[in-house]
Amino acid sequence: MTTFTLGIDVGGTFTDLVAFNTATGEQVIDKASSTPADPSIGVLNGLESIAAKLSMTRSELLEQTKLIVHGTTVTTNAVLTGRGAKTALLTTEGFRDILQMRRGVRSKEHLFNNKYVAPAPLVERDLRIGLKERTDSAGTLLQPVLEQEIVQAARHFKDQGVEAVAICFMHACANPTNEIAAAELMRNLMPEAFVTYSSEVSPMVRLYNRVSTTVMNAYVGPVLKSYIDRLLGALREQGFHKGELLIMQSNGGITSPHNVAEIPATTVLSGPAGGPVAGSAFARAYGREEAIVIDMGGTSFEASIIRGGEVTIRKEGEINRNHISLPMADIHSIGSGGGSIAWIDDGGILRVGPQSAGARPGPACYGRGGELPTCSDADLVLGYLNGDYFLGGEMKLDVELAERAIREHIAEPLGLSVEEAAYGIYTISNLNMVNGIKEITVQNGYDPREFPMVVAGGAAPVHAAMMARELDMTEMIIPKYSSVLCAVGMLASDLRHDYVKSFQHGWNEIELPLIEAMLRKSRQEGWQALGLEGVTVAKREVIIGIDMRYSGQHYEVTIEFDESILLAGDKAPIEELFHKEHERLYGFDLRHHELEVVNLRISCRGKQAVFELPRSEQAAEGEQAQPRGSRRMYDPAQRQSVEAPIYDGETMKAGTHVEGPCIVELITTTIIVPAGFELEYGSYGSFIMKDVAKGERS
Amino acid sequence: MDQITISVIANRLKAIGRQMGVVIERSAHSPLLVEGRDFSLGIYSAEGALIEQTEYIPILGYATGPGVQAVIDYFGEDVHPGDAFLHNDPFTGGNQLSDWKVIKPVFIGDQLVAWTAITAHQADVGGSVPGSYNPYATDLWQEGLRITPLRIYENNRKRRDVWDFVFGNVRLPIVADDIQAMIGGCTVGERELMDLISRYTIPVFNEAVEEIFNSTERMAKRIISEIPNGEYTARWWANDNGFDHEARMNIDVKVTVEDEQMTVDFTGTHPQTPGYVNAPMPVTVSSVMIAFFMLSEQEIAHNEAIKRCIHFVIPEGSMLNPRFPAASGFGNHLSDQIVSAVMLALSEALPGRVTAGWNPLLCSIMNGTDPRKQAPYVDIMINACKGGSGGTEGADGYDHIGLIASGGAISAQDPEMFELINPCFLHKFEYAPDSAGAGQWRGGLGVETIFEIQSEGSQASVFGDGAKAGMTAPGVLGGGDGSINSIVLEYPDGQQTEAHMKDLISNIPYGTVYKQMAGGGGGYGDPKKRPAELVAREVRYGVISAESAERDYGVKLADPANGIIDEAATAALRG
Repeated sequence: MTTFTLGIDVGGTFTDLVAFNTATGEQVIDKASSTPADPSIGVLNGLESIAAKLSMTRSELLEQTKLIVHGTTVTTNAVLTGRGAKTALLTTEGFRDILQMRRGVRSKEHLFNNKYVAPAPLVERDLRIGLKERTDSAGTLLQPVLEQEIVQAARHFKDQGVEAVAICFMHACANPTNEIAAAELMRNLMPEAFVTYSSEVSPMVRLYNRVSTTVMNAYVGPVLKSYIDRLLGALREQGFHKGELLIMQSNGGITSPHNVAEIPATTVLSGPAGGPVAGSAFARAYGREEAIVIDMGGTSFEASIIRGGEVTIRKEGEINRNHISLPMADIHSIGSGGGSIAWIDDGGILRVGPQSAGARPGPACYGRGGELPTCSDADLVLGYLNGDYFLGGEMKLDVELAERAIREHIAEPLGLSVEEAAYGIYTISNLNMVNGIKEITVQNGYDPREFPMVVAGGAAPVHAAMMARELDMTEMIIPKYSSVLCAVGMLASDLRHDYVKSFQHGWNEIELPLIEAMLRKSRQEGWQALGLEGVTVAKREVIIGIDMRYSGQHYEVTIEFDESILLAGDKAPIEELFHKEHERLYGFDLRHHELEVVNLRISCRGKQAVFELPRSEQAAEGEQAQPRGSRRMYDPAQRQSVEAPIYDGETMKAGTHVEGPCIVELITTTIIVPAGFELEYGSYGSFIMKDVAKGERS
Repeated sequence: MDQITISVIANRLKAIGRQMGVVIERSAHSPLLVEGRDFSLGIYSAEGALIEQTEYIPILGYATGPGVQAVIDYFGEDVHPGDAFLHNDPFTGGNQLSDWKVIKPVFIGDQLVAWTAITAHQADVGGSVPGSYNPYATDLWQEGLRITPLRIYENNRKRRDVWDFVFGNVRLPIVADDIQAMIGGCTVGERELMDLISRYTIPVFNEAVEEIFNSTERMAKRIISEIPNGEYTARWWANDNGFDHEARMNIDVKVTVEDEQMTVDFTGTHPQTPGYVNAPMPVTVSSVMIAFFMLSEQEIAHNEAIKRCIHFVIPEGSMLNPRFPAASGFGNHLSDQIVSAVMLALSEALPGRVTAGWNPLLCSIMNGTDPRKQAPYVDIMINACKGGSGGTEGADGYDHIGLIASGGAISAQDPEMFELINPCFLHKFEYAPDSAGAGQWRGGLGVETIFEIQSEGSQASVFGDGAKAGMTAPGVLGGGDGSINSIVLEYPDGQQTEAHMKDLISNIPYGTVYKQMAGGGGGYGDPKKRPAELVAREVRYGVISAESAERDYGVKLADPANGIIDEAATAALRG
């Protein structure tokens, strides 16, 4: 009997798990420490632990699991830390520096900053080799690849220990012949290396965009492959015989390991993409189509915006100034989390992060040898965390070690009490994260006061109230599963297979059946993949996208519509969609101008819907939550130490509410309710926190 | 007024500016705008004070306001919802005939509350040379169509007679499309501003704007007060006036800092030249602002309030404020020399902030007929012209960044787009080895570009500087100078021509090979203090030759291909 579906999200500090019993509707969550050296170990540890919660062994659980959805940060981390595969590039002679030039732009943020230094490119210059091959802009092959040159390059790459090879030639999207030939030769010459070429990764015009995307793909390919192989091998060995593993992609959709192995760069924002997906599900439950989703983990803080109930998707993005032309959820990430290290700068100013103690050694209070004070140490000293009840008592936190780290490194040098120093760390962490939220709201012209905040990540509910107050936001939705929200999001995601085809034609020259024919193969592939992934036909959806422009423009507008419009065969409604979208975006249309098509897109989506929002148990008339004890806590709103009642969040019933200052403990997180705030348990497994004092003032 | 409201409005204005910019970047037709981003935009108060601007290319930033003011002064009360205006006249506030401004009023009800404006470089503006860069022009009429304040939209509708007249006087139909995109950008800005101002009400908006101005003024004053009081002077040179290729024109600058006020005085600068090497005043002012933003080393809003504490003396009749009817097509490009002069003047007061010289621009505009489309083409060879910036304390110069007037914002054409748009076939577009001035922090690298011109009878208008030793990016504090700029044409018959710094080369035959070297930036500090491993690595990368490593940096390599240092020889060389 295969009844379980698992969501597993590997973060920098913790591996989050959620198990959903599709037969009974039972949902169980758990957290385990991440093991960055080999993240699959953390996954197996987590599985053992969550199985125990279900009174099963790990093997029993895996045998009864039909689907595991997995999000991973291995590719993101590889790019950010420069620890991807040793990568080489084959390109057209005369263009070896395109990757590093980044079109000669210093970055819009640094127009006047002469001290700015660009990050190093992912391929060093001596591993970027130009070949005497050439295709012209019309797609005419002028010079085929010379085998001898590739043989020489392969020899050089082998000498240098190259693990991955990116191939990107001029005008390969107009004619991929040379790329395919070079890739075949290279794969034969270097069978152990990961070889990828641009017309397969991102077949769109613009050499820089393609070379950067292809290099990124090569750079993360071996890392992701060895990770998935290791993980799947271990899972199979442990009893996961019949089930399927699916991987979260940056676009918020999920797909098979086979698919991500081809274009591993589609996972560079895999982990965090689950956050907004789940966040939108919880916000919708409370009738909110718009929300700001924040996620504070051990090492990073992510913020994203939900509008119209949908995760915001962008067609391209950048990681560490490496351009990537693949669809991704629009998520802003900064280096701030529970593990962020507090330090004093040259001017005697207290700073927090972006350096993190990570999972090992971790914060001082973990007792794993970490000696530097972190945000979590401050939270513990201030009484926000219960050293004996962390992760439901599975992990002990040592308050003395935390105090010592803060005293030695912060309090004494600054002449503060330990409590004052801890409050400083807490507040500065909040300000860092508030700036991250401003980046995506205020700086894009959104007023955060108009949004509710969906709070995710184990450390976030400790900080949410004071961050919200800083931003004048008055409403927070804190799912009971807050600490594993990304993992929940993995179960709430749709299966999704996106394809793009370069297709440059005047709109008048073509008829819709030609477009249908162009996309037929991709549609079949996506449709079949959905079938293999177990999505019934009724739950499949095919969305067509056309990148169009007025003839002579350089950039396209993507219009999306249901497949049925394409099959109806009438071009007029599609033209109308384009004119309208152009007018909306750019303030004008050119209705008498000719149109041209640049790319065709197709997205095959399968509604997964294995996850249902939990229904909370309703409180009886007049029933109120009773504290189970109290402890000293530094109330950040009143800036003084108080004796705060502690409530058991696991047993609170829908409709009951508590007033700050108080503490609500859950197994995997703690909610701090400062004075002036009120917390109510809602009907769909979320707490709703309101800034009552602020509401009265305004 | 609470700080959150002020910051939301300030940031929202910034976002509106960015949104307007995206319209141009994404919907315009000319490669100059789309690929090169040669435009700038702003939001102005009802009275014409600059509230917010997004500089895609900084030189156009502070050069837009005077045109907005010209329209306001000219039309007075006769401004209505749905109007749009056009302007380019350098003698009523324009900066260059090629840079057209679209200016649109924003109304709430019948009250004028703001203006949106976009300045963008047009592919052609008439005159005697396609692309409108004419080194032989002696007055503005030879350069292009002069547009004094002109209403082109009324009631949200084109004034067809005016429109047809204007675009009947430029060569390329894409100019009309681009003006349409600029009007679209202004409309998007107008729409968003109406939404913003209605939400907060007009008085709250105006109060927030005043608060934004005050905060900017405080910040500007703080920045100026960080410069020690005193008078700082410098002289720098522009070369070749278009008629006399050996001509040298001095730019004299005196920066006076007195507590929180600063005066920049160009008295003594060379008189206006007979040709197009003249910068209308908005260019001179905007160039000084670029230097100020670079030297301030902090984020400061770019609005009217900064000018409350920076004052200008720019003598009329000088090269930096020419009299009617001077030609001024090259004016924008004097910004390289103006910024260098200001940096040089302040190098004594701010040694840790100045950079060594940036590569002075040498560039060309190509025009002709694209045989593939049987249609005219015009493009600025931005990719080929982008040299390196100067090294500075703590950072190497930026490679292939391009003219200082753009602050690294103007992007090189993508090689594929370049070939799709122009009848040119690229052979090479790579960093030029040994182009960077040596230094503890070296200059940025220049680039080498080679392409074949695949059309018959093209024309190249060459404009720039830095083509001889002594004119290149100077090194500072022991750093070396950047390499020389050059443009050479190799004709199919084997003949070679090296272009002058201001030149017009016509009737270029099919198959001519265009070769350009854009020089590197100047180096900062003693090259022998640069870590030897870093030098060795760049030899391995092939951007510094083994000879230069030994001669300039005192690093001897035992195995250059693998970047292995001869430790003993290096120790001896470095002393």
